[in-house]
Amino acid sequence: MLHGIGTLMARSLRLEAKLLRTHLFRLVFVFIIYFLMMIAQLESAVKGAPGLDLFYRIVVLNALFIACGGIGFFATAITEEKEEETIGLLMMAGISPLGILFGKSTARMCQALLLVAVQFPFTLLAITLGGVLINQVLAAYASLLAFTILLSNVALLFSVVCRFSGTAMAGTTLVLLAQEFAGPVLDPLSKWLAPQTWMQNVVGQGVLTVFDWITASGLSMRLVAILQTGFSDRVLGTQVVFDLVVAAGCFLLSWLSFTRFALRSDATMPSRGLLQRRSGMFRWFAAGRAWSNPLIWKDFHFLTGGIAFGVLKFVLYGLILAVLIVEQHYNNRSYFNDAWNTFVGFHLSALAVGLLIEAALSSSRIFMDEIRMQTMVNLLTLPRSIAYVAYSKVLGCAVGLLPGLAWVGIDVAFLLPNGLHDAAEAIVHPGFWVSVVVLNLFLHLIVLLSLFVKWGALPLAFFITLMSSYCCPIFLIAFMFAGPRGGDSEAALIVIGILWIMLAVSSFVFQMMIHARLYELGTK
Amino acid sequence: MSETLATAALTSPAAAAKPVIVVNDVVHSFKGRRALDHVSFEVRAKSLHGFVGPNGAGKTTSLRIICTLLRPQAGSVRVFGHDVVYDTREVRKRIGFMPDHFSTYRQMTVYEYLDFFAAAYGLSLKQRTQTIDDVLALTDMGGRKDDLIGGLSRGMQQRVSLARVLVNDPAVLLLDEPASGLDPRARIELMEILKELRAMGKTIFISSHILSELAELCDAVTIIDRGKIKYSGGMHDLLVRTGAHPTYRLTLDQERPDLQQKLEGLTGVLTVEPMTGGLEYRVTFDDAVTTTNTVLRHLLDWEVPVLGFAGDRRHLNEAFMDLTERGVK
Repeated sequence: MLHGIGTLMARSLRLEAKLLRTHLFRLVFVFIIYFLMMIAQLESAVKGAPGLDLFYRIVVLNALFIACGGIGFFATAITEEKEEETIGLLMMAGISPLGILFGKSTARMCQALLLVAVQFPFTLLAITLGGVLINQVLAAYASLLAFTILLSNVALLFSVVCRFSGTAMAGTTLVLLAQEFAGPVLDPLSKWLAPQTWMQNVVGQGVLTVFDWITASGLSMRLVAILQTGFSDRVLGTQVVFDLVVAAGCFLLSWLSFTRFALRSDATMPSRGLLQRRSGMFRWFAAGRAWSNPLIWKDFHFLTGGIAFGVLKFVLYGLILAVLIVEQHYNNRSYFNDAWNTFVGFHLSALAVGLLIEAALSSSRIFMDEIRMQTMVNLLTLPRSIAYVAYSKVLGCAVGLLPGLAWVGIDVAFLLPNGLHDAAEAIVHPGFWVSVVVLNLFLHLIVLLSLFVKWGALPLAFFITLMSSYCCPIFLIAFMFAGPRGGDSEAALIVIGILWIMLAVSSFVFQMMIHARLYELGTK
Repeated sequence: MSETLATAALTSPAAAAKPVIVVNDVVHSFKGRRALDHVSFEVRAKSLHGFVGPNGAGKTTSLRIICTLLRPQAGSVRVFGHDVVYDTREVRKRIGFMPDHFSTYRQMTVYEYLDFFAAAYGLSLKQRTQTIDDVLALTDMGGRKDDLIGGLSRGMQQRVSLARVLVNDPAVLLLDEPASGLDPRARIELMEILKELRAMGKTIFISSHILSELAELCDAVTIIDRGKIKYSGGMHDLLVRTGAHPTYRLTLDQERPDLQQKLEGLTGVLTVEPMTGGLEYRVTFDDAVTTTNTVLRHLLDWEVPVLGFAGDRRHLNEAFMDLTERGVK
């Protein structure tokens, strides 16, 4: 077994070390830290003991990096072997399931930990600058380390159980989000449950203890506590212990379920989701005949899920509103007051998040799927330009957004009093255009990165966009120049003009890069 | 490699047709390594033209240039007179390219896949229905049209790929290793389809490693090695041994130990070379002194049990090995 683990680890580390992108990524990471140090240096002129601020930024950078990069990095450990149908070969070579799990996940964990470890000297500098204690540094790094181990093992479990890398990544993301947001939900629930008489037994107390552990296991809550001035808690807090125990449990489950799931012969069988076949019982939801622009037809049906998934999305988005209306009715609130506006506003926010997720997922798959299935060559030999193919595919994905957009229209035109007027006001506010610019950059970045990296373009783009927004806060700059009144001021119009230019230039540059990369991929 | 072979004229019926693909002095390099070194050859209309070479010889690069995916760094390629760099769209309308790997949407049914590509080539709904039925019948996939492509065997998937190439009714088919990874039955069935396509008047340019099937199928062949063309011309010219004097292969029904001595004693016979098992001889004679009929008459007079006496043709494997270099330079 040790031989197998060693071989797999060495292969994995050697392959990563040979890749230029690995070193580029590390270099970018170092530059960001260097940038953060420059900010700390500037701050030291006006502020005493800037060490805590520097340390806070480094810790946030690490947490973001581990969460965003780690999902794609760890969740593909076993699925990539399944997709390449090489698991059987590894086992024939005498490597046991335990060896494969250790070899594949440990190597990746080592690489992630190396990247975190490389910054340790900078954190010591933060202590020198003042405002942060060694106890805080050790506690923060222990939390990050435990979180990395948890993430790698949760992702490993999904990688073993799921058929495809995308599903494994989605599952891992959901678990992480659930863990992170469990605190705000479970904390009030625990407070409500604790005094109940039917909870005063062993089971009830056990449930409350588990709730407490889960609440305390959120990384962000733990880091916030650590970074408070005067932190005096243990270095190895509940979060560290909880993460390590759950990680060990996940690894054990991965091992136990390996033979059952990882060796499934249908690992590479295609999935059509809700899309029906022409001859099926629900043929209304079939893709039917190709449209006159078949690229739009293909991406709408086979990438965004088609009519069936569209109907489901429309119903789900509507369900959010229905819940709000029932709540209004139940509490006998008036339909036309501030509360109603707040709830429709909440619905619009939910729609915005949903549409953003849909657009981001489509962007990450729009060319990635073609590359993975090696079908790009067929598209590029059609008597059409690369631009035609690419824009048609984008339109196909855009059609998939229609259910969400339809609800936005309904909310604005019918449900929100003065909705159209408010929408018109929002459109002439620089804040709206800043959002458009950032969103545009984010989506283009996902598409571009998906043409270079095998998995994880979406979290990587998210990380880069977040860091860029942090380093170059155009939000603040735009608002500063536009003023609070937005469209009423002349400055706001100038800012909107500048943002339009930014939008056009950035779109042009990104699309040229995407075009060049698509051509290059077609020649390979 | 002899220069005479490299410039041999086509002798098959297809030779009379005008060239539809003209590759002229093409040079292409990848990261300083020359993949194609002044490559020139032609593919005649309605011919089945084989493209043979060792791995890394430049076959796929040549095919990718012809199908407009790659721009040549020097030289020119014309398909039906259209330059692959400047008239890309016109070239693409006339060709169907099948790459050396399965490139199908595995989650689509066979019918959806073909319908998608037929629409992508601009066919109307009515035309599509007819065309898809035709290509499904040709590739014998009619019964599997509602099956998911991902659930089909490799041979079936390859047929779907071939059907996809045919939906726009291209005049030229460019097939890169179409039989690679297929079992013998699937390979034979694929070759039968190719024969049918040739009979329908398609020009087929096929890269393959299965030389026995190419020798049987192709009218013409181009052999490439390390980016250089070693031979391009008719299959017949390549396989018939060329030299100053005619060489015949004599096949006997049973062994005749004294035959070599007797033949060598004939006037005009230059060499008699025994081959496998004493049942075959390679006979070379001076055609200015004696004739085929004279030699054959002597054989009959000696009551030699002759099974065959025909011009000596070598196998494509032999020609390939003679023309390509062994090992790595």
